[in-house]
Amino acid sequence: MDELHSLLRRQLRRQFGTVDAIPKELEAIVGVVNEAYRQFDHDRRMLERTLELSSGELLQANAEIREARDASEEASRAKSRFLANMSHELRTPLNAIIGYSEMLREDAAAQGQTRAIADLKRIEGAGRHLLTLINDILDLSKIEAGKMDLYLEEFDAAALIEEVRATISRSVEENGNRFEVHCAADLGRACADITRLRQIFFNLLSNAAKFTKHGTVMLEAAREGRWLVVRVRDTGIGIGAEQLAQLFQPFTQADASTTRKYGGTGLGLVLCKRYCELMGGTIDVDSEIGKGTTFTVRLPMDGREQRPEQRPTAAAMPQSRGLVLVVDDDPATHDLAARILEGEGFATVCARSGDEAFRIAREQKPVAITLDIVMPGMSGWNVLAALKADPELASIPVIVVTFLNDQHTGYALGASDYLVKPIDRQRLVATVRRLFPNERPHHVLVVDDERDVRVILRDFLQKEGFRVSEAENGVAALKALVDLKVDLILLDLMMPELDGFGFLEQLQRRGSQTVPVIVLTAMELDAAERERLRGSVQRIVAKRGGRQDELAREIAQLLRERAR
Amino acid sequence: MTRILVVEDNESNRDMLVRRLERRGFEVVISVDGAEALEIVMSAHPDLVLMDMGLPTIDGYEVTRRLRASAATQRIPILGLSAHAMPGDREKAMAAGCDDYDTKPVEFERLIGKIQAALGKRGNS
Repeated sequence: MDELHSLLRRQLRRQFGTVDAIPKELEAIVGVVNEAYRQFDHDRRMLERTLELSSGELLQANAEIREARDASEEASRAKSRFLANMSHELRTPLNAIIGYSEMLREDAAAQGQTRAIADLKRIEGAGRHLLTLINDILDLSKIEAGKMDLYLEEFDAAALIEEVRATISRSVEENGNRFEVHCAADLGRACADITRLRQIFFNLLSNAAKFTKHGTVMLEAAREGRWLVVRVRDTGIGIGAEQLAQLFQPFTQADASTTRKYGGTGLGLVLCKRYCELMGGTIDVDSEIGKGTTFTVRLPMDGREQRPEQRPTAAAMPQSRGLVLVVDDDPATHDLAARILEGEGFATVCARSGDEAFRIAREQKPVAITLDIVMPGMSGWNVLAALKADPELASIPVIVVTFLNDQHTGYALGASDYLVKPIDRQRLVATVRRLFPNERPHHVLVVDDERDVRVILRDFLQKEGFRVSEAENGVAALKALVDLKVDLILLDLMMPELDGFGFLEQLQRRGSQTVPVIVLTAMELDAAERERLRGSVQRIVAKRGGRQDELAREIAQLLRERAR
Repeated sequence: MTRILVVEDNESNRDMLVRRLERRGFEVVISVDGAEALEIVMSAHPDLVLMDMGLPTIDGYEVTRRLRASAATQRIPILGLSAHAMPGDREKAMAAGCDDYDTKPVEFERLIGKIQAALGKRGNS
């Protein structure tokens, strides 16, 4: 500090010759400058010190967070272990309770002891109730441990609602309640884990029934775009605002007195919420004390759309023609492109941004890439240019798929093809077939007595690149097979002269049952008929409701498996 | 008469299973741990083994593996039973060589169904 002061004074002396010649005003200014500098220097030191302190604190805080995270992960593992062990310890005595009470009930029934039967039924019922509680806790811990697997399958949504109604209507009506079911006519088919779905609806309905006396419980199902929306309404006691907030938290049933009066663990709703989320949906509640409660469940009609990351990779599909990377920020495009490409025998993997696309391209080395241009962050043009500049990735063909009409830029940057959205199925198929020429066209024999059905299937299959022959019944089909070498038979069951069953028997007798058969039927098959078909057909497809692109995918899949 | 070996260390569970199986007309032999089970299989020649997987001395997985490894016993159907119902428990039992698996508490009619299916399958092959 003083150095600065004396430096300034020396400068002034040199300028003015002697100390006395320096104007007093200048001396004063030097004094002020010096003081300002002194203050500034002090502040700077203080700031530096503060920075040192805070970076130290940050490091410290980071370390603490890491420790806390490790501790909480360990705690979560410990909790899962504990729950698994507890479940085991509880199940063992329950096994004895349920088993012995069943035995005693059999004895009591044999000896006509009616009163004892009723008591024993209560013991058994209580044991089973305890078991469902344990199972709920176990399910919850499986979900939290990330170990809950969904089994997605296609089903008729209206039929499920009807089944739920039939199963639960008696217990809903127990408290003197009216049970109303409103199911929209256009529900159609949905794809979800049907067991979990039943569990959600049973749970909500039995809750509604439990908290409603001499009122109405309603189950409403409708379709809103891509969503299946199911509401469970009741005119029961309702839930207060404070309790609503905690409704979906584990182990916090609305309040303790509720547990005493109505029973339950408070896990039912927690599980409902987790299941909904696992299937890509939501659950909401609306309620007013004294008026009633409405739960609204929203699930994607097709649960597969919600889990694009779950698509099998090329490694998981040994018969695949290779992996195609689909780059687009819109999940609907992912799904459509993936369906088309999978129909052609490719496995797909999706990326939502340029960065993600690069990472996946480097890690998984796809055989081709479809690329959107307008994306948040890095634009598709930049992705394309960078892909072509990377020696490891430059040889991967890139198909640009975009709303933009700028083929020139696309080809200039090295795109192999340029498709304008909306995606045109046939153009995309034609492009991949050009890039990856396939073997000779597969030959399919369509056996159906209805000419219209044959024509529809023929046109459709030819468009998909198959060679098609037709036969109007089993006899004609057997004749055709003498001369033709076919790769697949699509078989109707109800036909004149020789029906599908008879045809299959003949085929087997001839020993030429090496051609895969897909049964396409409008019949509802019973168990005996299914048994007759078992072993001789690859797959049974219902004529109604079956989607054509799925049929095509299925056929292509079967043919590829056979080609190996 | 069909002879079933029940391997179960928990006394009341064992007693309950034995009595219920006897009521259904099965002949039942028992053992209370894995080592004993291996001996009794050799002397009693059961048609099927109902095995609790969590056993003292040698556990059910190991007993199953040993029975599968020996020519004299490898064709005896084994039904695994366990009070463990976490994912992977069933796979573990099947990997050890069980023909089927069920969790406790036992749903008795379902168990009888599984026993009959296992006896039928082995009987035909």
